[in-house]
Amino acid sequence: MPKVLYVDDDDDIREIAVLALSLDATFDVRPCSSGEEALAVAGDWSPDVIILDVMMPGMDGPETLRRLQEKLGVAIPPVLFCTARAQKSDIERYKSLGALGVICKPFDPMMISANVRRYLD
Amino acid sequence: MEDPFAPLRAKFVARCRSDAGRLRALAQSDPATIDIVHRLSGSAGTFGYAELSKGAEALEDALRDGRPARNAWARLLELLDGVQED
Repeated sequence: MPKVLYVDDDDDIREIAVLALSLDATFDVRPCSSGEEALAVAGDWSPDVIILDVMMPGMDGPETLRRLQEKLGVAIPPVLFCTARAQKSDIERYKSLGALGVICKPFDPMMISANVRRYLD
Repeated sequence: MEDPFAPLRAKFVARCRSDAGRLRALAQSDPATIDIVHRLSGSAGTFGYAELSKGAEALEDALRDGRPARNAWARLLELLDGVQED
C-alpha cells in the first residue's frame, strides 16, 4: 500500500486532502502540520510520496524539501508541492529545486488520488 | 449517498464566519490579515466555494503588491458573509 505523507499547516485543507486520499483504499496517508514534523516522520516512516505545502510558517515547503534531500539523499521519494502560486515560472522554479510535480490549490478533492498516483512507480 | 466531505465543509463554513469577524477587527497591514486571506485563497475552492477563493486571491495579490485593496477587501467580506452550506 503506497504511503503518502501530506504536509500542510492549514487544518482545513490538510483534513480534506487526507480524507480524500484515505477514501482511496490503496493509500496509507499520514498528515503533518509543519516541515519540522515532516522531517521527523519521513526518515522512519519511509513514505512513497511526499506532498508539501509551499507557504508554511517557519520552515516553508522549499526549505523542507532541501532538508529532506539532505536527510534522505538518494532515498528521497517523489516530492510534490501543493500551492496556489502555480504560474509557469513558479512551477519551473519548484522543479529546479527537485520537486517532481505540483498540485494546484484549490484542488478537486475527488481528483487528488488520481493526481498523486501519476507520480508513483 | 452521504457526502463524506460534508462534516469538513460545515467546519469550513464555521471558520468563514470566524474569519469574517477577525478580518473586520484587523488592519489590512496586519500580518494576520494576509495569513487568513492566503489560507482562504488556497482552501475555499477545494470546499466548493470558487468565488470566495478568487476573491481571497484578488485581495492577497493587492496586499502583497501594495496596491489599493479597499474594493477587494469589501468584496471578500461580502463573499464570506454569504457562505452557506449547500
